[in-house]
Amino acid sequence: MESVFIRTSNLSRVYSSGGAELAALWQVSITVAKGAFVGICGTSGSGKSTLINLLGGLDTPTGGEIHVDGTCVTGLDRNSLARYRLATVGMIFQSFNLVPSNSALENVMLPMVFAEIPKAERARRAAGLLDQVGLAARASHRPKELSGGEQQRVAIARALANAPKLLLADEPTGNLDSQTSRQIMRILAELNREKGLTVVMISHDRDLLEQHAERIVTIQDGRIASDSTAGGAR
Amino acid sequence: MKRTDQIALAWDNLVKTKLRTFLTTSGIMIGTGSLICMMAFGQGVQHNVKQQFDDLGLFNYIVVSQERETSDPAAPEAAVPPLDEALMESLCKLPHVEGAYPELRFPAMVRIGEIEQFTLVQVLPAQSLSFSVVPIIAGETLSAEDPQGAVVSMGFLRQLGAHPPPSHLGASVEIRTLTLDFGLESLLKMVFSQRRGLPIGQKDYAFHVRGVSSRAGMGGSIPIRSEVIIGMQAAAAMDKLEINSLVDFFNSDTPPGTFNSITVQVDSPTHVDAVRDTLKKQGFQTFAMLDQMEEMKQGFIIMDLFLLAIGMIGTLVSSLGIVNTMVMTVMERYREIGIMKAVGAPDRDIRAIFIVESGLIGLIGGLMGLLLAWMVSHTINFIVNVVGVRQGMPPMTYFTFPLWLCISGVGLAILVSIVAGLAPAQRAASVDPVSALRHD
Ligand SMILES: Nc1ncnc2c1ncn2[C@@H]1O[C@H](COP(=O)(O)OP(=O)(O)OP(=O)(O)O)[C@@H](O)[C@H]1O
Ligand SMILES: [Mg+2]
Repeated sequence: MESVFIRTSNLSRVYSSGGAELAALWQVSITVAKGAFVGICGTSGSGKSTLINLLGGLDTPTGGEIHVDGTCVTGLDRNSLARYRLATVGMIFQSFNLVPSNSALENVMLPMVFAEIPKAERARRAAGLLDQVGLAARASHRPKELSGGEQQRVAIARALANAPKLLLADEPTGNLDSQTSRQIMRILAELNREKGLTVVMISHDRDLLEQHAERIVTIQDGRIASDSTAGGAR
Repeated sequence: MKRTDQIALAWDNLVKTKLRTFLTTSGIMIGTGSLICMMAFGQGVQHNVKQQFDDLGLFNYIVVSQERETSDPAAPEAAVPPLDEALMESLCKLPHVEGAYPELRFPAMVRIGEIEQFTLVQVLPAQSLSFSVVPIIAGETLSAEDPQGAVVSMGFLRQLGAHPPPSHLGASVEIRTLTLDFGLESLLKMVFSQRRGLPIGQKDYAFHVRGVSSRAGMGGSIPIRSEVIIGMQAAAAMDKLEINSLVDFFNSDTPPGTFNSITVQVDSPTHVDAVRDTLKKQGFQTFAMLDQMEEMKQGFIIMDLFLLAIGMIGTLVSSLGIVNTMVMTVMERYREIGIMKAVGAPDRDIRAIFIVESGLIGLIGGLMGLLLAWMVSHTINFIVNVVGVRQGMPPMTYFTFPLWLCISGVGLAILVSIVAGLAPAQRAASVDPVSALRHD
């Protein structure tokens, strides 16, 4: 049996505003094997991003626990949580979230700054990562000079900067046309296959997920509605 | 995150918002500039005062006087020798003592040529001048053979445009004394005319320049320069209002042949304490300008604090500008902060980025302020000297910039900026990445 990489138990995230309580996520228990490619889908507002943000240590749950690679993420203090985001997780977003005033290279170097990697090493590694996503020639370009697909590739390179074990992608293809989406998907699948990265990815596009994800989890009203093993690409 | 990266990042961000950085640092520049300027002026004043005192050898003097009548009538009095000429001679023989002379000065208008000036005329026995109390640079010192001969300071003669000192030797010196006139005529005038105030009369006496001294007479408890020195013989024959006699008027009477106080001149300020101890052992009351220096230092500290307080206002106002700028920066970079947090920046790094940024504003503003202070003070100094020289004042340096002032001025700018940046930086550190990254 494959080793468990992510395990959540009764994971809940409840927002309370003005007396009214809203459970964005309610008692979700799920396990993800090491090296898996898991797709998450569900209607808008179902709690997909909430789950991803909790897994990525960007948000803290109101109940339940998360264990990633043997560490209890929910038990970490703010500082260790930052360390977890830095060393273990790489995140990709629908809106790319690149620093607009920085070049592609600088954007990729950013996580390494916080990892206190020496400057020369940062530039060398970032250039290598940009090359890996096919953007070696665009290193000095600013995000606004790049197409959506290129920006997302820069974001992928940045997510890989500190060699994470877990790649979390929140609708990475949401702002891209279908052809570009497929290109991004191929990159993610390749990282999953060749580097053994565990990938959890949200998408509205079930067909797209089915091409690469070995498992698709559907979320509905903050709960897991279905958990199926898709066709997969292998 | 390394400090060098924090500085590089902060610098990049300042460069990116050039106009805002310029305006904020200008605020700090003006704030620190005026603060440093004020402090530099205070330092200049202190430096000049000290310098003048040093030049006059003011710290070399000890004023010796008799113990005031004590409330204890049983106290033995005979032990303390009287302050007379014999004592002066014996005081001169003490080690490190260069001279001793009585403190006798009276206010008078002195006229030489076209220059008429109010001064305190110093009265000295002829012998004390031979102790080099007053260095003679031209002519001769006072002498009993020439009772109407006066020694005039070079400074006074310089006002006459006298450059080679001997040019005024023998020139006539008119001394107009003030007298308390209780004569009938004066009293009638007081009663029947509109004249108010003390019944003061005037008397003119003719002297001539016998010698020129390199510096003005000094000493005593009232540090006013005495530009003219005359002998005791001549002084005794003059109707005058003496400073000491005014005091005497209200106090006890001094026996004839003795003085109220004697000023002892010591060769260097370092020996003042030793000489004073000796004098105290003999039962005299002593007063040294050196002690006043301590009091003066306290006065200077108060002046410094006052200038600092005024100067701080500008700095504090400009720090509000920093708070404003930093709050704006944090708001503008809300998303970027979210990104940095998402990729793994700990709170302390985010905080440090903004604190270093505001500290950098402080550093740049502080350095610019130092430059501004330097330029402004030199301009003021230049203008004052141009105007002053026309009115016969010697050119002076009114501002001094000791190293500690430059360093602490810039340091204060940095400190104030960092403090101003603390709250915005804390706000940045506590940004919630999820809400910062929620798509636009
Ligand atoms: N800060 C918040 N305060 C209150 N409610 C929130 C907050 N953030 C999210 N929610 C709610 O939580 C629920 C789940 O949100 P989430 O962003 O996880 O949805 P999603 O599945 O990612 O949707 P989408 O496909 O549109 O991105 C939504 O109903 C949303 O309104
Ligand atoms: Mg979402």
